[in-house]
Amino acid sequence: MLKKNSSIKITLNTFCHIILITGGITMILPFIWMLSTSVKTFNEANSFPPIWVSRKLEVFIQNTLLSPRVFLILGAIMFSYFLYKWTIKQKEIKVKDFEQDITFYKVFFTLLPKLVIFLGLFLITAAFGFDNIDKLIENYRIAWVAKNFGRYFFNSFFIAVSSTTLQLVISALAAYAFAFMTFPFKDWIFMTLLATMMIPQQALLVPDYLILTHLGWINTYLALIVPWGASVFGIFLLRQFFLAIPRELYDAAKIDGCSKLGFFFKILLPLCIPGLTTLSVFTFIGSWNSFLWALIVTHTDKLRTIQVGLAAFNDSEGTRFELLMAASTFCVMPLIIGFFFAQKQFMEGISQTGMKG
Amino acid sequence: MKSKKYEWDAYLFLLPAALIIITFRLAPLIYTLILGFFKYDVPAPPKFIGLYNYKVLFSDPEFWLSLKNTIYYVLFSLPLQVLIPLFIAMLLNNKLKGIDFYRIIYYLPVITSVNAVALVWKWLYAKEAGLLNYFMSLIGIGKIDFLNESAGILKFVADGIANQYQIKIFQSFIDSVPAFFQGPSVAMMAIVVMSVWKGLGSNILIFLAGLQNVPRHLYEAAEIDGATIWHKFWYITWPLISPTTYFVLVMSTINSFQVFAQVYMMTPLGGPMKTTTVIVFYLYQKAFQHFEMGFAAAVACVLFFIILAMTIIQKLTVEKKVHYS
Repeated sequence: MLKKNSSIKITLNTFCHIILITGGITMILPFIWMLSTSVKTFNEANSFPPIWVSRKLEVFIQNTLLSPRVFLILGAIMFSYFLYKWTIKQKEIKVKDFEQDITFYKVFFTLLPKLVIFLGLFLITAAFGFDNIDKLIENYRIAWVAKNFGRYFFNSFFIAVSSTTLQLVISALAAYAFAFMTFPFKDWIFMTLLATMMIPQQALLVPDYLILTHLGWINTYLALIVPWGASVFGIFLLRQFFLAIPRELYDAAKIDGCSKLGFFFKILLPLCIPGLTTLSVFTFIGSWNSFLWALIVTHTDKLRTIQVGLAAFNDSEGTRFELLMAASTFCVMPLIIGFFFAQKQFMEGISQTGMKG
Repeated sequence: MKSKKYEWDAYLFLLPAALIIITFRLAPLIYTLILGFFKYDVPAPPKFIGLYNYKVLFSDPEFWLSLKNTIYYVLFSLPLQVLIPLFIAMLLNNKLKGIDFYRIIYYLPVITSVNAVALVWKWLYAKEAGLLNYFMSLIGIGKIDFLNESAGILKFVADGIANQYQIKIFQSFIDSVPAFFQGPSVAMMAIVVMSVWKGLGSNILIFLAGLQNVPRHLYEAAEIDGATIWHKFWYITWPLISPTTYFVLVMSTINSFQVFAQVYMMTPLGGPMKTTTVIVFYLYQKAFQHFEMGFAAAVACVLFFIILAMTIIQKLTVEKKVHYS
């Protein structure tokens, strides 16, 4: 058997890496450019050849990373990192997985690492210096206050959280019925639901709009939240997770006199937290990024989601790219940050749904 | 022995979900079909007009233009949306170090919102201060106003070569073929590139999953027999991931037909010479700018049937070549 020449393998490997890195740069370059533009002035943004480091950014770097402050920053980063690691270790000691009930103690120690993340971010920001950061983010401040993106951000967040919560409850209840109970026409109903997944959203836009008008929900939060409170995708996903729970558990609970809802809340849901998390992630992202729906269903500025706000901003100030990029960052950053923190759950969830075909 | 005891309270558990899904998914579907036969120019009350909407629709040149634009979009983005992720997934499948890092980087554009990144790309494509034009000026190509250039891409490139390098054969060839073959406009291609960029990550993940299902020993056996990289790909990889490829193809087709947000953000007026007005954009204009709801419902039905037809065609033609092990 011919052993593959190891030097050929190394060159192939390097070649692969080069291509992948080039591709990777293409993937992030637009985001870096977005961030870079968001701290420029109008003139800097429109200059040619393009500037990568604006004056504000230059001053910022000089005052933080190139000054004695850098030690404070490094200290804050290291402190936060070690504190985080410590809380993770505490969580592993104190929260044992084989105990199934949810107690306050367990919840506290599970959440502690995430709280430490926020504390760490605050400390690091403070280490950079609030006034330094303040001068840097002038465009962001304009977008947030003068252009109302603060309001839009709140709207998007509120709507995303509400939709996700509603979805978790409603889709879970339905998935529960499909997974554990027998009732007439069960299969037919499930097939019909699956079939509705094939309908393109655009085909439903006009009648949905008309239905909402009849209900009087146009231009209210209801129109943005309720239609996304249940989805066939959600029911299907949770059903898969629920089916993995042994039937005997359900039967035993019934014999012990546990009500259906009791089993649902006290046993089933705690066991399926990964599935619930996956669904939450998908629903939140879908809601946050939803554009066309929010566009047609709201007319007033007060109710705009951040995506619609961006479109309106583009309409009115299409040439102020430094402001537009700051606004785009608001749209994009929350999800990117969330993604970095939760990538493991994310990737697992995606591969599970993607492969179902 | 299990007795078939029906649990009628199951319906209560289904009720909230059923209410929402019926109200906002099933009922609207039927509503759309019916509405297509009415003239409903809000706020005037609806009026039954039979097939009149469809008659107007099929004789509206703007509709056919939007259909043509959408087909251009789908034709030119599909190969890129399938082959590039496949290539990258194959690179990643070689047990390289840092695969997790690459997966994150490539997936990043997927989770961001379409309209925000469309705006960033609009800025990248800008004529004067755009980054792309800057890179092109570094290699000696003049500035291009990407999003406002209505010339077909093939014609544009051929003209560019003719003007810059005095090689005229491409130009005369392109000028001699029917206009359709001059390709989508540069503006449309710009949107295609942005969409491919954005969708890369999710197709990469899907292909990775498919590639990982190919048993390693097949490759090893092939290597013993002296197979080259191309042999290994064509005779092992390609057939065995054909279910995955088929899935990606169908999903990408369905998604591509529904493109809207990018067009709305990058070319809000429908593009140079209306070359980026796709079907959903046309639908949006009719429904929410002109408020011709009945007419828009007819458009929506047509769109639905086109997507259905494409899916069925793909099922009948491409799926035959799919190798299910």
